[in-house]
Order: sequence, then structure tokens, then C-alpha cells
Amino acid sequence: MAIRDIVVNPSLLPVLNLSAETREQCMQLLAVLDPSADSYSDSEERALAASKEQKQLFALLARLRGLNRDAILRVRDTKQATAEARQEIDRLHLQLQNLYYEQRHLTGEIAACESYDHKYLALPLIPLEEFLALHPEHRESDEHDLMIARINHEHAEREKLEQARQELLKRKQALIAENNKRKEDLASLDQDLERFIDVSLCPGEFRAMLLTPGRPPSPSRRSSKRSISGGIIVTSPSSKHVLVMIAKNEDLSSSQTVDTHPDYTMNVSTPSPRPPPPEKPEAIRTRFKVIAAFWAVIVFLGFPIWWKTTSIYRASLPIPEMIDWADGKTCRPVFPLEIRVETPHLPDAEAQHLLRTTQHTLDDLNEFSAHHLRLKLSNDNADEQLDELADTALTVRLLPQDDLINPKSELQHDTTRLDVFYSPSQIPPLSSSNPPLSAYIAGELQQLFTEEKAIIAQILSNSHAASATANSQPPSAMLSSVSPQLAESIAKRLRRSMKYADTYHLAFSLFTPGTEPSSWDIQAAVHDYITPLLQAFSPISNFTVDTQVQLYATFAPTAPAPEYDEGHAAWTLKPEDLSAFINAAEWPLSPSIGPGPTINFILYVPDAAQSPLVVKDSLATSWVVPQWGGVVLLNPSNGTQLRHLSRDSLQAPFLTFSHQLLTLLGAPSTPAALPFRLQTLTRIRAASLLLSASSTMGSLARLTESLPSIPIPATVAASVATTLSHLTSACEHLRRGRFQAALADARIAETEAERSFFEKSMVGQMYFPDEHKVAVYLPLLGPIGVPLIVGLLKEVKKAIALRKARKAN
Amino acid sequence: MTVFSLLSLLFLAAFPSLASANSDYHESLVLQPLPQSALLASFNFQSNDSQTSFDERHFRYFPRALGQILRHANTKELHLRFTTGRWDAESWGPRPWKGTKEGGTGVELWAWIDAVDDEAAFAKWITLAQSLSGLFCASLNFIDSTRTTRPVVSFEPMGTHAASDNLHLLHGTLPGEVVCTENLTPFLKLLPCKGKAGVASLLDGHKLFDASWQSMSVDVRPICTQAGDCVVQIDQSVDIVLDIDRSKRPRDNPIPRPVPNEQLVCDTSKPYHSDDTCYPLESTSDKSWGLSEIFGRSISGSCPLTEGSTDGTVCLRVPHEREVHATDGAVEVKRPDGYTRCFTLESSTSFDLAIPEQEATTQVPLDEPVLRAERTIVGHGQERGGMRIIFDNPSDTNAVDFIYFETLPWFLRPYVHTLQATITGRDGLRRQVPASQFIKETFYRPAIDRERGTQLELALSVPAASTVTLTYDFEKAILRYTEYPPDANRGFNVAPAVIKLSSADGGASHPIYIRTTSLLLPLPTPDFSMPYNVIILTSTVIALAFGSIFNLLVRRFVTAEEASAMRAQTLKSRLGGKLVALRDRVKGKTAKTE
Repeated sequence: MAIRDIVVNPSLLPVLNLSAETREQCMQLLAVLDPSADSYSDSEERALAASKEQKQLFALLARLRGLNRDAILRVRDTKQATAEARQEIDRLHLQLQNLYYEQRHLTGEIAACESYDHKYLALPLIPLEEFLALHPEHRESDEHDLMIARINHEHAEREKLEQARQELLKRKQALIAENNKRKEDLASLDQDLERFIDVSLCPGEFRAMLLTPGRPPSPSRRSSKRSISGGIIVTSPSSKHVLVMIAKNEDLSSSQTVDTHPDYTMNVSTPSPRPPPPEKPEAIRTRFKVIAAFWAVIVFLGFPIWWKTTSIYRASLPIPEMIDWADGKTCRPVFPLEIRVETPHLPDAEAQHLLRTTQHTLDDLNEFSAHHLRLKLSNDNADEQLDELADTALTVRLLPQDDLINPKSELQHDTTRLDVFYSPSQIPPLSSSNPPLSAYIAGELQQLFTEEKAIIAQILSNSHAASATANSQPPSAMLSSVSPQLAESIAKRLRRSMKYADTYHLAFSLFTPGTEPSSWDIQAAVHDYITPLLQAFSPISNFTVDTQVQLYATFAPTAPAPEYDEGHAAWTLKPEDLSAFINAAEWPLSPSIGPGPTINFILYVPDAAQSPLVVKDSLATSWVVPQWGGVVLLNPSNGTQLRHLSRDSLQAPFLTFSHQLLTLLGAPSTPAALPFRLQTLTRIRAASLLLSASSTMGSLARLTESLPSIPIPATVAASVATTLSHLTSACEHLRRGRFQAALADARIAETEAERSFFEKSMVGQMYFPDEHKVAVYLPLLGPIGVPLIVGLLKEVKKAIALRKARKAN
Repeated sequence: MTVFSLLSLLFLAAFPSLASANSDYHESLVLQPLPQSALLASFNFQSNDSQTSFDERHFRYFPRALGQILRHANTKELHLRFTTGRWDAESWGPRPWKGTKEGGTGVELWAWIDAVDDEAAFAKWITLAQSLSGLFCASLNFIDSTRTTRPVVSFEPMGTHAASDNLHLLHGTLPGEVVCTENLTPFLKLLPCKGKAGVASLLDGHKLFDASWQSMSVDVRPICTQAGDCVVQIDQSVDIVLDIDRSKRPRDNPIPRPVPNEQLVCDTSKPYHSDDTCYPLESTSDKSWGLSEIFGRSISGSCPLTEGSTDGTVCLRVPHEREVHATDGAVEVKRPDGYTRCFTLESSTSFDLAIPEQEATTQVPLDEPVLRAERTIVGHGQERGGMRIIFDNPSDTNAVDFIYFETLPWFLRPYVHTLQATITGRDGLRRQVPASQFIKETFYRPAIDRERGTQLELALSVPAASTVTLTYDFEKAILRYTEYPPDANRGFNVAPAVIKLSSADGGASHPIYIRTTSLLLPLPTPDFSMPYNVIILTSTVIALAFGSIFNLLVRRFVTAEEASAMRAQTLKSRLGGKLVALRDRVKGKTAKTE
């Protein structure tokens, strides 16, 4: 059997046997159970046999299991034994390997030691024979000892040599130092020599020095070979002395002690590095001269040129005089009005008496000293023939008229004449001191001039309000006596009136929102209503007249529209909206070309749909725009549109325009006589021009004082002089009562004053501000200025130090 | 022929009733479609004031603002032009008003001034220019002596002047001036009806200055009749060429849009024509347009001041068979020339014209211009250049005689000796010929630097069917630093040349004017920061030189070792000395206490 061949282990043999036996038993059982064999007759028997067989089989199997268990245990034991044996073998093997390594390493070390190349083999030793000759005691020693001895010998020898070298080096250093010292001594010798020469140039001193024992260096001691000697021969041309000076380095100390300079001796005592020798006096002087020259160029050439080229011309103005004018100290305008009294029907004496009493009454009535009336008989001007005649403000003609209970007066409308009618019985007797006729005349005159007085007082008080001069009677005192209504209306009129000008341009414009009327009889209207007025004004101002027709002149979109007022059946404009009535943006109301202001007069014809158009509440159809002009609304009378405005329909508007013109020119409202009002206007204008020119002078004076950088050209000075002279003469004319001449002078003064104040070159600005110029020129000024200033400062410091030193000495 | 009739119509409008008119006002508008969908609209406003009322300063129709200026400047006759754009003579034909009412690009002003001598005249001229500058919001105050010339034969007074007047003609141009709305507003304010009624109500700055070409003119002249009645006439006109398509676009949406597909008319004969490719056909019919479509508004009635004038106010030049719809109430009159119809307006109702699209059968023929002129700057470089002027005479039979007038700024220095002429016939051959063959007379006034410009007037004759080219060289001057304008690199404007043709048909009264385009002359421009650089660099160099010289003179020279010793002595020794002193003091004190 194959398995028997394989399993030979005796311990396993019983297992094999048993398993064979068990198999056999199994076969038997199978045979029993096999129905086909039929060895058993009945099934019970068979079952018995089978169970018997089965029991045997179980017994066998149990044995077999036991055997199997034994077998497994045995295998386990065997395995353990095997592992232990193997461990042992591994340990031994490792030990062996280590030993092998050790052996190889040692072999390598030995080889390295054997092949090592030592330094002593390369040492340049003295040859063996020489050594042996020097030390014969080593002749017997072995090679190793010999070598050691040789090396020791070499070492000792070398140390000896090194020591010698160090000593030599030290010596060399000392020599170099010595050398340097000598060199410096030589240099300072040069210095000494130069000083010596300097001194020698001054013969007296030189001689003194020669006489001083020990001062000249001794020419002896030339023993040292290494000493450097220098010699110089100084020839003094004046003294013919010849000095041979030889300095030696070794002898420096003697020559240095001779030097009197304290610093120098001190410096010499310090070791190197040596400071530079002190500066020569001429070098210091030269430097001082250089710096002084530079500064001289800057101060005497640079600054004057800069000053000249950048200075502005300022003509000298009579500033105090101008300010006096502005303050009203120079001139106190007075208005002595001359009133001529014609008494054709009175004897001279009575006339004189009447005059005197009237004058007394007038003086009593007048509270305003600047404005007073002087009565004069028309036939007694013989004493003034030589002098210039004063303007006659008013002529009073006394006319006797019977059957008059009270005297009566009448102002002529076309001349400045007041007719006074009286009954002959009222002529005052010479004895009466206060006759009623005088009182009446005085009262009439006073009343005539009330408004003028008030206006003049207002003007004067306005101009003097700020300056508050110590007049004996301030004009405001006069104002207090005027009724408040009158004062207010005067102030209003003054505000409204145009500034005085030589020429006024009058522009009459017809405006209509639609297309009609598109023409008007303007030539005739101007000729009838405006030209006479302008002729009357011609002594005061010149006038030009322009007219135009403008259609489609609508209100400004922002202006409030007129409202319809049922009560009055009219379209109304609110008084506060009147300022927006003129559409300045759209209506061509450009000022006229040429000098002088433009006064605009607008005739507005409203649209048929908005007619009649009036101002609310007052129902007025005209108003004055202060300092600008006047507006008149012309409502067509019958509600239909006019295509053409005839001369008749223009009458009312143009009369309004002429009134507005008078108001705008500043004429007083009373009395009715135009020549009288024009005379008043002359006085008012003269006064206001005088004051305005004076205040312009004051402003100019203040301006020139407050702005020192503005130029004042010569023309301004000339204008100021002209103004002042004309102001003076105007004031004089006023004082003498010549108002036309005063006005003429005041006009010139005002023109010149305005010209000087608004001189173009005075307001011219510099093209470059100073900062820009400095910024541009800083690259030049900085680098030049800094060394110059630093140099100057140094010099100044030195000078101060020197002075202190001298004082200390 | 037709053009002559147009011109005669315009002149009829210009001089309506010279004999009878004493103080009246007329206005007219002539509309004429031009090729390439352009429309020429010529507005004319004319008013007369009698000389006497003018002298007395009673202004009715004449504007007061202008009247004052004329009186102030002693100006007897005034011509002022504001022009932008270029008249395309190739397609638009001859100019309106025979070119008498247009100026060169920018502003042109010429006037006859009554003065005793040239200086006084020039002073008045400056006054006039400055006053007008304020009135018209234009930079006319820049007309100075360098831009002022006194033409000799190029201009003739249009009015009648007394022989006793000592008149001086002065002429100035501002080619760089940009004409815009601010000039139109004062222009309209001069009109009696202020642009609120009449044809002037069409004038709107947005449309007017959107035009391809526009010219505004103001002419003032005295006219006297044989009887001795004198009037001062102010003639204001506005001529514009509008692009119909462009003007019809709504203002709030002005971007052109492509034609919608359905409305495209395609050329079906093209081989590539299909559903998705289309070659659009030019529309052969005339475009439809209307006044309110093009100007954005309609005429708001006639100006009431024109009442009584019977001839039509608005005239339209289209063939008579063309359909035209006008507002009811307007009276239409067809002129016998077959192309003109005029409408008289009602004063109260607004007026509009509508012209529907219609297949064009006939066109209003345009005449060939008598002369074509072109002027260009040639050459290259910053130093030199050349001017080339080309005159083309299209006529096959007649030679053209004319006056050529140009003013050049002083910084353009022409060399007249280089004036050369070439002639090209219809055969296209160029031949160099001496210039004297064409130039019959020359008036040349050379420039003076910074004082006046060059004035050149040539009497020329160009033979029939030929093109004459004149060339000359010039040198560009270098300006001073401050003379450059802020936009120096843009170049400098050179005023257009003026060509005056005496009428071909012998009528010496009304010459034809042609103006070339203005030119732009590039001048060498410096680096404007240069002066500062120069100042700073020079200052630095001088400062360096000064510093070294000063130091050489002042400093003391020592060796380096000495310097170090000195420093040691100064600083260290001082410090050390102080330390020693301090220590001594401390020691001394302690010693004292002990």
C-alpha cells in the first residue's frame, strides 16, 4: 500500500492499523445493511446484526479519534523543538559574521598605519653627518632616538631665530616713527622761516631780532648724518642785511620756543596727527576782502538795480489836504442868496429902511446859517462894480396897488421874479422897527426857500454824518426844524435822482406786447414836451435823445401777471411787483454808447385784452424807477387798439415823462416856477458835486495810504491838484454867491476827481505774484545766497571774537 | 435761364419798392429743394427808416442798438456775415443771392466809415468792431490791425453815398469764430417782429445750426432816390441748406434707423437677389416734407408790419405739377416761369406747407456755376509751405474775368516771386505758363510783423474750358511765446479768399461773389514749459559756477590729515576739555567737603 510506504513512523503505525480495522468494520456494516445480499432472513435480525456491527464501528472510531489526537499533539511538540533548534543556529551564525567584520577592520587599520607618511620625514633638518658632528653623543643611539634628538635640536634653533626677527621689527617701527617726526619738524621749520622773513622785511624789527640773543637759530650741530638741513637766504632790500638761516631738525625745539605764538607751542607738544598750521594773516585778509567784495556788489549794485526795477512810481499827493476836504474842514459850503429888491415907487430912504427891517426879520426867522438870504436894493450896486457880481437868486419887485388890505405876492412863472403888491399906506414909517410889510415879505421869501434849504441841509448832513465836524451849527439842527414829511420826501427824492453827469442820454421807448401801435408821433412829442425842458437844463448838463418802437414786448415769464379787479374794471399790477415789470432780459434797453448814464422812459401800451392796466390801490399809471427812468402805462381811451399814437394822445404821457425827468435830475418840487427851480437845482448840484468830489478825494487819500503797493502815476497827482484848485474856487464862488461859476468849477472838480480815482494804471495787477517769482528763481538765489550768508556770518563771528580777545588783552 | 429767374426773384424780394418805400418792412422766405435731399431756405428781412429820423435817433424799424453803434462809429455802410459749413457747388449749383449775402467761414465784417484820415477811420473801425462784438455776442473785438485790410477793388459800396463823404473801406475776418445760437438770438432781436411772427418764427437755433451750410448776414446801407429821399436800409438774411432726412428725425430720437424690411425696395434684376439679400433701389420719387416737419414748427402768421405788401411772403420752387398742400387761407400765386409759387400769409393764423411724396417728372434745373475755385495749403514741414489755388472755368465759350482777394496772417510770409501758373485744358494736359498771362493786375501789400497781414488782390482772367492753378510758396514765422493761443497745436486759421466776378452779362451793378473755404495752417509750436526749464537750468548752472568760484576764493585748503586733526581738535578736544572741567569741579567739591 502506498500509504504504508509513506508513513513509516512507528508511532503512526497503530493509527494506520486501526484505521484499516475501522474500514473493515465499515465494510461489514455495509454488507449487513445491503438488502441485496440477503444473508439475513428477516429484518429484525438484520437490524440486530447491524446494530452490533455499528457498536463495534463506533468503538473503533473512538479509538481512532484518540489516536488522531495523540498524533496532533506529537506534531505540535515536534514543531516547537524544531523552532528552538533553529534559533540557536541563527544566533551562532550572527556571532560568526561579527567576528568576520572585526577581522577585516583590523586588517585595514594595520594597513593604514603601515602606510602613514609623517611630517618629520619632510622636515628640512640639517644632515645627519652635521648633526652627529654637533652632538657626537648620539652616535650610538638607535635611529628612533636619533631622529627625536634631531627634531628637538631643530626646534630650539628656530625659536631663537624668531626672537631675533621680532626685535628687528620693533627697531624698524621705531625708526619709521622717528623719521616722521623729523619730517614734521622740517615742515614747521618752513613756517618759522617764512615768519622770520616777514619780520625781516621790517628792518627795525629785524634788527631788533638780530640783536636779541638766542633768537636766531644756531647754525651748529651738524653732526648727525641723518639730519635734514635746509637753508635760506633772505635779502632785505631796504636794510641790505643778509641773513643766512639754517634750520635743523634736531634743533627745532630751540627755534620753536623762540616763537611767541602760544597755540603753536602747545600744538608742537602734542604728538601726530598734527593740526594744520595757523592761517596766514594775509589769507584771512584776502578772504575778508573777497567776501566784502561780493557783498559790496550785492548791496551797491544788486539791491539798487532790484529796487529800481521793481519799485513802483508813487507821485506825492497832498494827503492831509485831501482828507481835510473830505472831512469838510477846508470848506464849509455856504449859500448867501442875493435877492434884489426893486422899489420903483419908493423913495430911497424908505426903501432902505424897509430893506433893513425885512433883513432883520429874515435873519430872525432863519435857523440855518449856511443858507441865508441877503437883500439888496437893485440900484445900489455901485460899490460892487469892481467886484464880480453875485448871481441874483430872486428879484422882488414892490408894486404899489391901491385898495389892498393885505399885501399880496405873485411868483412869475417864466422868470425869477416875485411881485409884491402893497397899498401905499402900508409903507412903514422910518421909525417903526417891525413893520407888517417887512414881516410879510420875509415870510414869503422864507417859504419860497424852505424846500431848498431842507434839501441842502439834507445833503450837507449826509456828507457830514460820518465826519461829524465841529461846525458851529450842524446842518442836522436845521433838519429838525423841517417838518418830517418834507424831510422824508426830500430824502426819497435824493435817493431817486440820478448821480450828476455831464451828459445824460434819454431813451424813450414805446413797448407793446402785441403789434399795435407800431408808430408814434415821437418827433413832435419830443419837440413839444421834452426839448424846452432840456434847453432849460442845458447850463447844468447836456442831453441826447433816442427813441425806439418795440413790438412783442412781453412780460418776463417770472414776473407776476396783472390781475383783473372787478371793482375798478381794470387790470391791476401790485405795487410791490412793479420792480419786475421791466423785462430786462428781453427788452432792448441797452444803455447808450458814450459817457454818461442813460435815463429810460418807457411808454407801455397794454394789450387790448389787458386794458386798462393800472397800479393796484393807487390806480396810478406811471411810476419812477429810482436812478433808472420812468414808466407810463398808456391805456387806449376807448378800449380799441390804436395803430398810431398821435401827438395828442402822447401829450399826457410826455408831460409825465417831463415830471419824471425833473425828479430824476433832482430838481425840487416847489415852487411852480421852473426858472426858480432850476436855480435851486444849480445850487443843489453845486453843493452835491462839491461834496462828492471832496469825498472822492478823501477816498483816494485813504486808498493810497492803505495800499502802499499801488502805483500812483503823475496824471493822478495832476488830477488831484486840478480837483483841489477847482474845489477851492468853487467854494469861493459859493461863498460869494456866484452859483453858476461854482457849479462849473464843481463839475470840473468832480470829473477830475473821478478820473484820478478810476485811473486805470492804479488798479493794474502785477502779472506774476511775488511767490511765483521767488519759486522760479529759488534755484539761483538759494545756492548763491547760502554760501554768501554763511561766509558773512563766519567773518562777523571772527571779528567779534577778535575784538573780545583784544579787549581781554 | 431758370437760375437767372431765381436770382431775379431774390432780387425782387431784396429791392421790392425802392421808389415808394419810405419807412417799411418786408420779409420773405424762399424754399428750394436741392439735389441729394437738401433744401435751401433763404430768409430775408428788410426794413427802411428815413435818413432824417435815423439822424434824429428816432428808431422805428431800424434797431436802436445797431443804430447807436453805427452813429457812434461814423459808419455809413455795414456788412456783417456769420457763416458755417461749406457750400457744395458741385451738387447745389450757384450760390443764393449770387454770393453777395454770404461770408467766409466764421465772421466777416466790412464797412465804409466816414473819417478824416486813415488813423481816425481805423480808430472808428475798432470802436465799431468792439461794439458789434457786444451786440452779437461774437469775438469781433479780436479784429485788430493784423486782421484788418483795406481792399482796393474787391468790394464796392452797395448804397448811395454823398460825394462829400470821406469814406474808408475796412475789412476784417475771423475765420476761427464758431457761429452758434448766441449769435442768432441778438440777430432775431434786431427784427421788428422779434422772431415771434412772420417767417422769422421758423428760425430755431437747434435746426439752424444743424444745417449743412448756413449764413447770416446784416447789411446796412443808405439808399437815396433820384428825388433826394434817403432811407437807411437794414437787410438781414439767413440762408440755410438743410438735409431733409436729417431734419425730419425727431429731436428726442435723432439716431438714424435702418429702413424696415417690408419697406425696402429691392433691385430684383441683381443675380443675387433673393428673399434674404436685397440691393436697395434709389427712390426715384421726390421726398415728402413739410415746414413743421423740417423746422419743428410752423409759421405763426405774418408779421403785421408787412401788411400791404401784395407779393407772396413764402415762395416755393418746385415744378407746378408738384402737389403742395398749404394751410387754408393762404393765397397761392403761381409764377409763369413754371417753377415758382408764392403764398401770402394771414396775419393771425399759422401757416404750414406739406409736400407729399410724388414721382418726380421734372426737376428745377440748376445752372452751372460760372467759376469754381479751390484753395489749399500744400507742402510739408514746419518751416515752409505752399498755397495752391485752382480756378476752373466750366464754360466752353466765355473766358471769366474776376478779382481774387486774399488776406494772409502776418505769420504766413508768402514769396510772391514764386507765383507760378499752370493751365490744364479739357485734354488734361498740364502746361506751365508765366503767371502774367492770366494776371492782369496785381495789388500787393506786404505784411509787417505783428502789425498787419498780407493783402493780395489779383485781377485774373481764366480762358474758356480750362483750369488754371496758381501756386506760391510761403514761410511760416515763429511766434513769440505769448502769442500762441491755448490750442496752439490745432493750427491757425487762414481767412478764405474772396472772388468777385463782374457779371457775365455786362451788368456791372451786381457782381457775383465766391468764397473759398478757410484753411488751417499748422505752425511750429514750442514746448510751453520751456521758459521755466530754461530759467531753472540757467539758474542752477550759474549757482554751481558761483558756488565753486566763491569757495575757491574763500575756503582754506589743508591736507586730509590736517583736516582730521583739526576736526579732532575742535570737537573732541572741546568735549574732552569740558569733561575734565566737570571732573575737576566734582573733585574740587569733594575735596572741599573733606
